[in-house]
Amino acid sequence: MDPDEVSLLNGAVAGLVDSAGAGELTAALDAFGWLEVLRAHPHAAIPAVFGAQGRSGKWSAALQDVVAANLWDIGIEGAANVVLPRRNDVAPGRWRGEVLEVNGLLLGPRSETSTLVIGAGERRAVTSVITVAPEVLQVELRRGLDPFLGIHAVWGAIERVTVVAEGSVALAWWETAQARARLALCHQIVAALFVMVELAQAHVSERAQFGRLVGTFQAVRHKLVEAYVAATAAGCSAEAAWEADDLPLAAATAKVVAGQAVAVAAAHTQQLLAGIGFTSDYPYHHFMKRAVVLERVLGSGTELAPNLGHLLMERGEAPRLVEL
Amino acid sequence: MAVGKERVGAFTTAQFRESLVDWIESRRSELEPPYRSHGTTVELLSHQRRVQRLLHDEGWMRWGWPEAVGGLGGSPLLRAVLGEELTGRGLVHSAAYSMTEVLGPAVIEYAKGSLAAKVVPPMLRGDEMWCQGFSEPEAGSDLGSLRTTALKERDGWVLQGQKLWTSWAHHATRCIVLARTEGPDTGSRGISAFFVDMDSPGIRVRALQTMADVDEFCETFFDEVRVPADRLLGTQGKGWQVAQHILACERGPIFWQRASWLLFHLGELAAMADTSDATAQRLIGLAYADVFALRARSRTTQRQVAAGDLRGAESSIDKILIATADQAVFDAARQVLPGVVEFDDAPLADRFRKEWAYSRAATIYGGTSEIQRDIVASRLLELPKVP
Repeated sequence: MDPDEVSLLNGAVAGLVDSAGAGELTAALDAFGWLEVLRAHPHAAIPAVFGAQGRSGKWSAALQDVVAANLWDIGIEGAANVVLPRRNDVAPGRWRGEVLEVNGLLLGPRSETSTLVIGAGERRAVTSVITVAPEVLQVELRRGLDPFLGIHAVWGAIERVTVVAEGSVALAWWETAQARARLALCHQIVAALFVMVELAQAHVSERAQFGRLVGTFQAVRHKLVEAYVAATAAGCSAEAAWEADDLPLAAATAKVVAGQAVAVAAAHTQQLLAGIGFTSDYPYHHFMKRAVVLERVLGSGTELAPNLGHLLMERGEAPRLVEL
Repeated sequence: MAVGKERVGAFTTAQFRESLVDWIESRRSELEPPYRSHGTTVELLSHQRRVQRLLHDEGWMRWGWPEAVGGLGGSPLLRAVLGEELTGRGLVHSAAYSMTEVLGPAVIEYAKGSLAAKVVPPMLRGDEMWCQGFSEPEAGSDLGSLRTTALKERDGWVLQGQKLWTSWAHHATRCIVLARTEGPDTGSRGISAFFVDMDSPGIRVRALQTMADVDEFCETFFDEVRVPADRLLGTQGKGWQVAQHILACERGPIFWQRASWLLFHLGELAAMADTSDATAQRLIGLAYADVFALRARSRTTQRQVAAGDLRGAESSIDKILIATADQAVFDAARQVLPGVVEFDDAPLADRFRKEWAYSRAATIYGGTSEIQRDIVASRLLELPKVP
C-alpha cells in the first residue's frame, strides 16, 4: 500500500470504529472486509484497527483475528480462536506424556466458531499446533481488571488431540502470529496512552490551586512530558518494528518499550489527574486499565526484557533491526 | 576498491552502505585504532585525523556534502550512514567523529562569499578541527544571557569575554563564537555569530579535565581579539538563528552515529556477559529497548534533517531519548561487568570506565534534559504559560 492508501484506510477504519455501537465492532469490521485487508496488508491493517481501538476505548475480536490470520499457512481453513498463553515463559499447551495440559486465555473470541487452536511445547517455544472442540476444555468468562475485554480463561487436560503442525512449521507460524499480535497490542496501548496524556493535559490546563493553574508548576509539566515522551517512543518503536529484518525480535523489543511507556505514563497521568482520575465517573480509568491489561498480554515488558538480553548474549551482538 | 570517489551519479543510501561496508572490510586494518584502551585525547584525535583523511581521499567523507564546498553531493543521509558504519564497528570515537556535523552545516548555511568553500574542505579532510564557543561561566542552559561582547570597529569586530566547555578548543583551528553585539539587556535578540581563527592574537585556551579523566573541554578566553567583518555568520543580531541551526543539526547524523556507538558497546557487553546471569539479561534487554526506541524515533528525524526540515521542539524528544539510552547502556555495562569499571585498569576497563563517566553528561550537554522537557511542555503540549 502506498502512503495515500494507508491514510485512506486509517480514515475509513477510524470512522467505522467511532460509529460502531457497543458490541457491534466485530460485525462492523467484518462488513468492512477487515479480515481480507489483514491477510493482504497486515502492516497497514493492524496499526489502523488497533490505533482506532486504542483511541476509542472499544474492543473487538481483532486480536484473535491477528493471531489466527496466518493459520492457513499450516492448513487450518476457516475461522478459529487461538488460545493465548497466560504467561510469557509457558506455551498454552504442555505435554504430560500423551496428555495435553492446557492453560491459556482468549480475549474477545469469535462466537461463530467452535474450533480452538492451541500451540504446545516445552517452555515458551511452540513446537506443535493442536485443534480441539471447546467442550473438552473448561472455558470461563472472567471479569479481570478490564471487564470489557471479553477475557476467557481456558484450561483442562485432553487425551485425544489432533496435531495439525509440528516442529519448525509450528514454530514459524507462532513466531509470526505472536509478533504481529504483539505489535497490534503496542499500537493499541500507545493510542490509549495518548488519550491518557490528553486527559491529564486538559486537566492541568484548567485546574487551579494556590492561585495558579497546576500546569504551570514545573514538577507537573515534567511529569506530563515524561508520559508523552514515553508514549511517543513506544509509538515510533511499534511503527519501525514492521520494517525490521527480524520481525519477532523487533516486536518483542517494541513491546518492552511499550511496557516501559505504560509504567511511566500510567503512573504520571494518574498522579496529575489526582482525585478525578481515581473516580469511575471519569473515563480515564478505562484507558488506564486497558493499557495495563494489554501490556501483560503475550509478555509484559518486565517479562520480555530478560528474553531480549539473553538473545543478545547468545548472539554476542546487538542487531540494528532497522536501517535508515 | 575505491568506489567512493569513482562513483558517478547519486547513490541510494542502500547502495552507498553496501559499497562502503565492502571498502571498510577491505581496509579494516588501516581503520582500526592503534590503541585498545579509550585512548588519550591526542591519540584519539590523531587517529580521527588519519581516518578522516583516508575517508576524504577515497571520497567517502565527501558524499552528502554540497559540491560547492568540495563535497560530492547526494543526500545528507549518506553522512549518517558513514558515521553509523564507522562508530558501529568502534573504528572512530563517536565524540571525535561528531565535530564535522556540529559546525559544518551552519558554516555552509551562514558564511559569506567564498569562506565556506575555503574552510569546509580542510575540515572534512581532518586537517582542521573546529570548536563551538557557546557556553559561558554565567550562560549554560540560559544561553541568551551570554556576556562575551563583539564591538564594531572600522573593518571588523573586537571580541572580549570568556567561553566554557569548548570541546577540543586546545586542538582546534577555528571556533564559532556567539557574542553580544547589542546592549547588555537584549537577551537572545542581541547576539551575533562569528567564525574565528584560533591562532588570532588574544585567544588563550586552558584545557579542563573531565571526571572521565579526559582533557576534552576547555576554558577559552578572548582578550581584544580582532575578527574581520567577513567572518560574521549570517547578519548582525541574528546569531541566535545560527545557534538554533547548529543545535538542530546536532540531532541529525550525530545522533544516528551515537546510537550505533551505543549498539556497538551493548553488543560487546552482551558478548562478554555470562548468559545465565539474570541481572545481565534484564539490564541488557532494557538498554537494548532504549536504543531501539531512540533509533526508531531518530530515523524519522534523520529524514527530516536531510530534507532541510530542521524542527526545533520535536527534536527535544530525540535529545531526551538519546540521553536515556546512553546512560542505560553504560549503566548496564557497569553493573554487568564484575567490578571492571570500579576496580580494574586494563584497556577494556579504561574504555568502559571513560565511556561510563562520559555518559553522566548525556543529560547535560547539548541542552539539559530539564530544558528539553520545558521545551516539550511549552511548545508541543502547549501547557499554560509559566508566570
